Amino acid sequence: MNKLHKMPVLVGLFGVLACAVLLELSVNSGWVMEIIVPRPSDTILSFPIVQEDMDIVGNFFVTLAMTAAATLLALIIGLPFGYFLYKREAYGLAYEGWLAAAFSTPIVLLYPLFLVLFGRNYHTLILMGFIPGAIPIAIQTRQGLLGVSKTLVNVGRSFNVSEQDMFRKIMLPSAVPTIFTGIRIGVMYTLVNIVAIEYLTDFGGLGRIVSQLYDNFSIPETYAAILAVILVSTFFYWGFGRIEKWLRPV
Amino acid sequence: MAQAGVIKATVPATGAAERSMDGRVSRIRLMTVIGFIALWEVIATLGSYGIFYNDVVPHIWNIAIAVFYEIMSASFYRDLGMTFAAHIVGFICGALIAIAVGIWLGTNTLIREAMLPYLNAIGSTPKIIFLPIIFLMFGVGIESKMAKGSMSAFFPVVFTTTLGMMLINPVLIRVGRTYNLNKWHMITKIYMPAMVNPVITGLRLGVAITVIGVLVAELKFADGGLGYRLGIYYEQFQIAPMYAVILLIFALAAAANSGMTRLQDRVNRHMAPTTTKGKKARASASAGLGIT
Amino acid sequence: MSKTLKTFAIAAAGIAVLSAPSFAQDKVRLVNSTKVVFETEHPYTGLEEGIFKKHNLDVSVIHGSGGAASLQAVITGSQDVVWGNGVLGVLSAYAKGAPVRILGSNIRGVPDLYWYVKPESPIKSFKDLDGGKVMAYSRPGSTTDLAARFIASALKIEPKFVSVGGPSGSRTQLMSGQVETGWSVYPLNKDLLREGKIRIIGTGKEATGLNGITIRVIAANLNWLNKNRDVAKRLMTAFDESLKMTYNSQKRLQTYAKRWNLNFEDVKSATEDTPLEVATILPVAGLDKINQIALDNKKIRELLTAEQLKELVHPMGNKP
Repeated sequence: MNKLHKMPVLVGLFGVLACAVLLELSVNSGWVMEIIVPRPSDTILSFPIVQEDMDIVGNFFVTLAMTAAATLLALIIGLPFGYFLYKREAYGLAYEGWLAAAFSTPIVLLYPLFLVLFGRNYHTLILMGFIPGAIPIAIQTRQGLLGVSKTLVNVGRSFNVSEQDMFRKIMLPSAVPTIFTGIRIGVMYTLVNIVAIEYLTDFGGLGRIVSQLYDNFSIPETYAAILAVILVSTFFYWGFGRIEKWLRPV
Repeated sequence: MAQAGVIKATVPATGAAERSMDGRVSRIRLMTVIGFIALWEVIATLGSYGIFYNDVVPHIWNIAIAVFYEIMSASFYRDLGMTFAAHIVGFICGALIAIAVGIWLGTNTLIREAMLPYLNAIGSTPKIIFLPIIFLMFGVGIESKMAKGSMSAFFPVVFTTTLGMMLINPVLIRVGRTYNLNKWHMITKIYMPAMVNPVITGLRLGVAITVIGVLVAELKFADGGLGYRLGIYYEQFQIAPMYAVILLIFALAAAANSGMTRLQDRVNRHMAPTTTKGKKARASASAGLGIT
Repeated sequence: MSKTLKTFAIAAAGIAVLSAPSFAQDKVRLVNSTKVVFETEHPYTGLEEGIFKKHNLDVSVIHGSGGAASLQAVITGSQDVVWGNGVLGVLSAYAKGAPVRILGSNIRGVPDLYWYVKPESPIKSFKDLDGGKVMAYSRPGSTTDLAARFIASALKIEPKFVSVGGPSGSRTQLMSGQVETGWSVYPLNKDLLREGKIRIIGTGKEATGLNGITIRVIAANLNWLNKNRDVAKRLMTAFDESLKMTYNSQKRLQTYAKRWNLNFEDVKSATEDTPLEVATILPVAGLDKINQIALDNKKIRELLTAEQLKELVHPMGNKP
C-alpha cells in the first residue's frame, strides 16, 4: 500500500531526471543550442557562482522582506476594508464588482506610473505589490463574513450574545477559512507582482538577478536564478497550503 | 492543485428594496468617481505650485485629449493589432495544449499525481521570469509574445480542465464505455460537454492572464504592440499619452473579461436545469450536469 | 471567365515585376539596440534615402530597449546584426563562446551623456559632488555606471553612486527632490534645458579615461557573417554613407525629430552633441582597456588574449 502511494512521487522524480538526462545529451550532441538551453549539470553547478557574484540568498531575503511588507500592508488595509464592505451593504455592492474587475486587470503595467510618482526604490515595489494583494483579501473577507451560516447566527442570538462576541466567537471563526483563501491568493499575487517589477526595472531582489544575469549573457546562471525563483514560489505556495489545511481540516 | 483565484461579484435581491439599493449603489459609485477625479485634479494643481512634481500627474482633460489623439492615431491601431494578434494566437495555442494535457491528466491518475506538483510549482511562479528563456528560444519578434501568451494561458486552463475531468460523473463515463465509444468520441461526446463550465472558467482566467503576459513581454522587448507603446511614452516622458495608453489597455482588458464572463453566464444558464428549458435542459443533463 | 483569368494573369505578372528587385536584394535583419538617441537614426537614413537599396540590400529594422536582449537576438540568430550595442556586453558574450563579432564602432567615448541639476541647486560642476553627493546612473554594469565612475576617477572625487533607471526615471527623481543629480543622453530631457528647468553640470567628455575608447559597436552573428561576408561588407559601406549623410543633412535631422516626436529645437545641435569624429565606424579602439574593464566588472572571468581580441573584430565586415 505504501509503495503504491509513493509511486507518483517516484514517477515524477524519474520523469524529471529522465528529462534532465535527455536535455544533457541533446546539448552535448549539439541538437539543442547551448546558448539557448544550457546543460542541466552546468545550471546546477552554477549555483555557487550565482551566490558568489549575485548573493542569491541575500536577494532571496530582499524579495521575501518586500513580499512580507506588502502583505502586511495588504492585510492592514484589506481586512478592515473587507469588513467595511460587509457591514455597509450598499458599499459592498458598489465596490465589489469594481474590485473584481481591478483584480483581473494588468496592474503591473502601472509600474512606470509608480516609478514616476514614487521613485525607484523599495517603497515603490512594496506599494505595487500591496495593491494586487489587498484586493482579494478585501473581497474574500466580505465573502467570508457574508457566507456565515444563518443557523450559527441564530444560535448566537438565541443566547443573547453581544454584537462584539457575535463577531469574535461566531462570525470570524466561521469566516476565517474563506478569508485565508483571500490571504493566500493575495500573497501569491503580491510575490508575482514584486518579482515581475524587479525584473522589469532591474531593481530589488530575485527578479533583478535574473535580469542582470541575462544581460551578462550568463545563461547557466540565468537558468539557476530562474530555478531559485521557482523554488521560492513553490515554498510560498506549499507553506500557505499547509496553513490553510490546518485552518480548514475538512 | 493551484487555484486560479476566481473573484466573483454578488447579485443583489429583487423587489422594491432592490430598486432602493440600486439607487444607493449608483450614487455611491458616482460619488466615488467624482471624488477620485476631484482628488486627481487637486494633486495635478498642487504640481503647478511645485508642491508635487508638476508633470507626473497631468490634468484629467490633458489625459482625455491624449486618449482622443491615441484613438485617432493610425499607429495606435497598428500596435493594438500586434498585441491582439499575439494575444489571440498565444491564447488559442496555450488553451488547446492545456485542454489536451488536462484531459490526459484527468484520465491518468498516476501521471496526474506525478506531474501535478511540478505543474503547481511552475504555475505559481511569476511567468515573467521565463522571459529570458522565451526570448532565447523564439527571438525578439511577435513569436516570443505569442509564446509568452501561450505560457500564460496554459496554466489556468490545464488546472481547471484537469479538475473538470476529475469531477465528471462516473456514471457518464461508464455509459460511454458501455456503448464502446472510441477515445475521440469519449472526448467529444462525454468529457467536453461534461466539463464545459470548468473549462470556460479556465479560459476566462486565461484570457485575462494572457493579456498581461503579452503586454509585459512587449514592455521588456518588442518593436510594436501596446506594451511597447507604453514603454516608449515612458522613456520619452510623455506622461499624458502614457496614462492614455494605460487607460485604453485597462478598458480593453475589462471588455475582454466582461465578454468571457457573459459567455460563462450564458453557458451556466444553458446548463442549469429549469422546467421552461425542457428538452434542452435534459440534453444538457445527459451531457454532464451536476458539475460544480 | 477568360477575361477574369487574363486580368488575374496580368496582375500577377505586374506584382512579380514590381517585386522582382526585392527578390534579388540581400536581406539583412538589423536590430537597433536603443531608441530615440541620435545614432539610432543612421540605419533609417540608409533605409529611407535608398542607400541600402543602392548596395542591393533589403534591410529590416527593429528596436531594442537597451540591455542585452538586442545582442541575444543576434547571438541566437533571430537577427543578423545589432546596431549600437554596448561593447562590454559583446566582449562578455564572445568570452562565453557566443557566435558574435564586431564589425565596427558606433561611438567612441561617452560625449552624448550629461548630468544635470535643478537651476537653484548649489552644485555647479562634477567637483561639487565630492563628499558623498549623489551621482546618478542607470543601472549596475551599464554605460552610465561606467562613465560615472570614470568621471569620478578622472576628477578625483568621491560621490555617492545611485542607480535611478533610465532618463525618464532620473528626471522624475531629480525634479521631485529624491536625488541631487540626474543623468540623460542627448537629446532626451533637452526640453527641460530649453525651458530653463535644469542646468547641465557636466558631460561624458569629462570621463577622460573613456575618450577615444569604443563604447558601443555594430556586431553580427558569426554564422551569418561567414555565409554573407560580401553582404556584410556592403552593409558596412552603406552604414558609413548613411552616417555621413545624417550628419550633413538638415532634412534628416527634421525626419529624426518627427520620428520620435521631438522638438526640432532640441535636436538641431545633435551633430555637435555627438560629433562625427567620435561616431565614425572605424577605428574600433581601446579594446585592451575594455578587456580590463570587463574583468574588473566581473563581465568576464579572465582577460581575453591578444589573439582573441583580434579575432573578435572583423572591421567593415572583412576578416581580421
